Amino acid sequence: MNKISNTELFTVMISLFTFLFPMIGTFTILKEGNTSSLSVLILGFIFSIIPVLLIMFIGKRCKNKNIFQFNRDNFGLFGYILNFLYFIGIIFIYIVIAWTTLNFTINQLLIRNSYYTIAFIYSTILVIAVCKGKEIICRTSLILYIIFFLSVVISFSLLIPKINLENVLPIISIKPQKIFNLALLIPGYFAYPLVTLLCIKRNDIRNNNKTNKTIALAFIISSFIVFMFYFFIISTYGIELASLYVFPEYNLFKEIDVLDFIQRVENIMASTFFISAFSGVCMIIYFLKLYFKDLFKMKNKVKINATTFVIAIIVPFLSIYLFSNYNLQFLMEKYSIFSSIILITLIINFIFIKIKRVNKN
Amino acid sequence: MKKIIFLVTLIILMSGCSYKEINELAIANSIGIDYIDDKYVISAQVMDLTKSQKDNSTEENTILYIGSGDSIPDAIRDITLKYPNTLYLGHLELMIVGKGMLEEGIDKTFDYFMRSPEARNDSLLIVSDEFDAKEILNPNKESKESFPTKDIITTIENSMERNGSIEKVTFEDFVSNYLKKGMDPILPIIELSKSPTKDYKNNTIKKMALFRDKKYLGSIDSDVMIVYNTLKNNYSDIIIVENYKNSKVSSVLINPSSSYDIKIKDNKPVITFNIKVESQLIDVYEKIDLTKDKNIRELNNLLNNKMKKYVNDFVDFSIENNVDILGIKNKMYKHYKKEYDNYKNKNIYKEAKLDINVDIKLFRYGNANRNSTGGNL
Repeated sequence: MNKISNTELFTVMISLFTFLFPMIGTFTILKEGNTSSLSVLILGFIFSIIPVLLIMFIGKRCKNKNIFQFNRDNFGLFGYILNFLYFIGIIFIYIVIAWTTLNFTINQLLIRNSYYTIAFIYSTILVIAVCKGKEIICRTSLILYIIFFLSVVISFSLLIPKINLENVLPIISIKPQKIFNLALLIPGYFAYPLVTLLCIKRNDIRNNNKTNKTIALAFIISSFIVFMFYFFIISTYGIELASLYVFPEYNLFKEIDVLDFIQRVENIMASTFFISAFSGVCMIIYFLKLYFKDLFKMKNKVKINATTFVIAIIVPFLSIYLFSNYNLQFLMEKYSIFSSIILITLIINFIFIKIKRVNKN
Repeated sequence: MKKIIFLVTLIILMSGCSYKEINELAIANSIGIDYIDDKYVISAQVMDLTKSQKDNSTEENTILYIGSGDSIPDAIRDITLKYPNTLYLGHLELMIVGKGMLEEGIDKTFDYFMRSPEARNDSLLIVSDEFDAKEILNPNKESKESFPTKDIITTIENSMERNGSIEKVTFEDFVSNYLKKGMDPILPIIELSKSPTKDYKNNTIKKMALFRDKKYLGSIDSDVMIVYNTLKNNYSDIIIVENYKNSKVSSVLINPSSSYDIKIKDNKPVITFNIKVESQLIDVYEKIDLTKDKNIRELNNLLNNKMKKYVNDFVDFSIENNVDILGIKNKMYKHYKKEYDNYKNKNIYKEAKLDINVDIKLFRYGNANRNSTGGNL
């Protein structure tokens, strides 16, 4: 089996760190955080260090086993419960990201199209990558990352003339307690999806002794990208307008106008969101695939792929059904609270490892 | 082979959405919003593609689509029911709010255009306090321009660049200023002059409309707007006429590099206006010897005093109407949030100490070294 490199994994990590922001994170934070959103973000990144350190700690112990095998073998029944809790957390993220991605696609780009058709097409593409395995996800991610990086750099460069630094002021416009509370939501968008990396055995990564360093680097780069997006949104639009939009990043691209010649490029730039989400969502599906594979001890490749396909299709369909039939909008606003099940599981997992003294080997 | 089948499937499935031929679309360049007899009336000026093709001419012709309804989207839908083509707002360049809508509340126009993914928010926004938007958008049969939208946009741009009495405001800018703390938004006013005998009309844009607390207050004098645009460095060159030794002297103000700020000194706000403009003499009617340093200094002082008078008028206007079109209070909110709370319901121009610095430098005299009546230059 081909091993994956840290560079490839780095691009997947960037996707996992950033993909939830354009869809739900930015909207929620800007709405409540006002011009203090930048302070919220910085504080939130500091809080995010805790789950990332836990993921690094647990990841180091998953040398020859993925997290499901590791928990099952070391903690027996409790291991199964832990795996189930991870599964619940990740499936919740998948439901939310599926709904918001579809909502964005249909509201902004493919108006008057069926949610189910778009969900089917999008999920099919993801499933193909997931069925091919983590090597394909990582390699695709590397290529997409180059496109993502280029479009982000070009967009930011073209938006520099639109910056009005006064729009960022006052730095503190809401109560410090509220800044603190909002910052607690950031790990939900930023760090929790990274837990999916635990389904990759460390031995499947080349130079795996450097993987934690790669995680740290991806953490820094991703926080910088997210921060720059927030900075450009607030300084270009002003918080009053920015907080009105559901997809502020998409609207930000509408502002690109070079000499009345390069303009209206928001739909091209919107591909950035799909690119940034691609490997992230693939990792989520891959995580779910391995969970079922481990739970039902599946060996047959066709069965595994069929299960993957069913999960990848059912979850977006379920999200469409739930969000369109029941008033579940509160799930978006309380996303971080619900997703904190991942943090709780990580902490319990960490305590179990410490109690059982499971070493790195 | 599998890959080819997959790619072909993708091409078929992802070939586009809600596909429509261009001649099936009514591409609206401008839209008028009126409120008449408790109904929203939308007038959309669209390009008449069929006529251009028939006549084989390059001239653009327009049609005015009008629809009414209980809400803006309802009125837009009414257009779709009346006319064969689908109204497309993706190329909107101009939005005109008519007098009825202005009285009803301009804020009622915001939501549809902000929410709709099809409409452009960067189109220019203007109002009319005397006419309905549909009257303004109605194509002019006798004028050389058959496309009023372009006419109006050019007039707005020229008025701002060469007159200083107008500021170009996009729909998005207006909504943003409207929502900002400590700022009263403004919009250009379009006026219509009709010939009583012929089917002729002319659009002029010379004034700005002032809004406070979601209400239209009235228009702003051009002198006030000159100060506003000088402080915002909005224009390229504007003309100032003054009396000097029983003669009219015209100067052009160019390259404004002004600034304005608010600071708190000894617990009291201090507003600073730093006006810095270059000036060029462009027209002298009498024999004025401009080689004399004294005359030049006097002319320069006249210009400076005139600008100071304009600034004082600007301050008086702001106090009289209790408005802040420059957003001085917004600056205060951004830099001195605590102090802003004390002043948010007060008129800042009344409360603050004013520090006005005007520096107009007259040092350009154009091509002629003497004036046409014989005086030295």
